[in-house]
Order: sequence, then C-alpha cells, then structure tokens
Amino acid sequence: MTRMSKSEVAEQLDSFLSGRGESWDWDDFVSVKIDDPELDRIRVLCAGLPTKYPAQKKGAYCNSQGFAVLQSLLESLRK
Amino acid sequence: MCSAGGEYGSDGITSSQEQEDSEESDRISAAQPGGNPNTDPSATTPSSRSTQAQQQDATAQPGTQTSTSSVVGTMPSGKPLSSYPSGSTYCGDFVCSSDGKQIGIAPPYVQGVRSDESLGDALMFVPVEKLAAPLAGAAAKLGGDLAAKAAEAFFARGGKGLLNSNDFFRIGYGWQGSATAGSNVLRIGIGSKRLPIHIHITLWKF
Repeated sequence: MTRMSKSEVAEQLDSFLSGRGESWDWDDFVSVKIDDPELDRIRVLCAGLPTKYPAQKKGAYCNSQGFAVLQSLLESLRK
Repeated sequence: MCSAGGEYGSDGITSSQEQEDSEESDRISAAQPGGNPNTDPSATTPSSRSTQAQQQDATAQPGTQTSTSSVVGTMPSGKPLSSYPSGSTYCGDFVCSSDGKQIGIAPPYVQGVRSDESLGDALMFVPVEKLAAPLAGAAAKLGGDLAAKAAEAFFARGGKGLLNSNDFFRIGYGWQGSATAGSNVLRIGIGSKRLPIHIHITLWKF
C-alpha cells in the first residue's frame, strides 16, 4: 500500500494521457493500492479500463470511451 | 441401471470399424482349435445373442429388466474380461478387456458373472481410443480453465493479483508506456520510485 495525495493521482493521470510520464509510471500507479479509499477506487477504475473499454488501436490503453472516463476522472480530481 | 447397456446399444456409440474388428476377432477365434465357444461365428452375429447369454436371461432375477440389447461387438478371443469394481459383474457395470483397450457396459442379462468367466459376445464394447479424444479434450478444457483462474488469481493487474499488488515485488500483467503508445506486458517489478530500488523486467510483450 502506498500513500498518494489527490494532486499526485491527478498528475499521474495527466502525464499518462499526455505521454509525459516514464514508461513504468502508470504500471506502478495501477499496481499498488493507495491508502485513501476514494483514490484507490479511482486507481481500480483506471486499472479496469482495458477490460471494460478494450483498445481498438494497437498501442492504446483503451478505446475512446475509456479515455473519456480517464479525462472525467482527471477533471473531478482537479475540482 | 439395467437399462444402461441398452442405451449404449441404441445410441450407436460403436462404429462399423468396431464391427469389423469384432468380425475379425470372430474369424481368429473360429480358426483356433478349442477357441472360446462364445465367439463362435454363428453366435456372434449382430442380430443374435449367444446361447450362454440366453441361458443367463432365463435365470435372471424376477423384476430385472431383460430387454434385448444390440450386440455390436465381441471380445477378442483369449482376452478375459475384467470388471470394476472387482468381483462379480452385473448389468450396468463397467467392464473392460484385460489389455485395457476396450471398455463396455454389461447388458441386462449379466447377473453375477465372475471376472474370470467369459461374457462372450454379449457385451457392447467401445475401443478406448474412441473415448480418449473427448476425455482428453474435456481434461484439457478443465486444465485450461483452472490455469486461467490461477493466472487471474496470481497475476491479474490492478492490485487484484496476489503476486502483482505490492510495492516490493510484483510479477504479472502490466502496462508499459503511455496511454496511446504502450503495450500490455508480463513483467517483474521490484520496488518503486519511493524505494531505493526500482527495477522492471519485461518477460513478455503482447
């Protein structure tokens, strides 16, 4: 279990979507539980996107609906 | 239980190949002096049953179903019958040849025949090879399902896999790269950015 703040999770999502993150950052983020239950719920949502919204393009994490979910999660974290 | 033999016969599990096999074994039996009398060609035609079988019908216990089963195969001569469980064989019991290459179900008129006695032509046999493929397929499917569930339990991503959800050592499915330029991987992850050690080893990229 790891400790992360709301802003750190938001930064993680943003860097993943924009391609600024390092290659294993996202893997580290979705693999390890977060001590804050609300933030951990977001992490689990993020981890399940490829299953719920399977990618249609090679190299993509999920499809456009999945990216829309990621974007809305990012916006909710920044409010 | 007594109808088991009849069901097998009517379902036509055995094939023309088996009939050819049985006819060949009959020919071999007939050619051997002192061969098994139950495999006499005159008594092993598909439409007739052996004298022994008819005698056993007559001595069947009251209330026992004695409907005629289709005779679709014979035991190769010189190969005594085995039954499971060991001991006397009754209708509906699973039986097999001593070489284990044929299995069958005892028909209704078999009532307490010992395993060292010949049941002659009155059983319906299925070569083991005929059952091996579907059994192997079912076993493979079961094995595949178990393997998939085990993989899910141990290696699933998102903190669900037992071996794939901690900060120190993770092995399982993961993601390498960004949202639009990455790939699914099977990897080992050791440590994290918060720890002094932080290593990832990609085992498989797909």
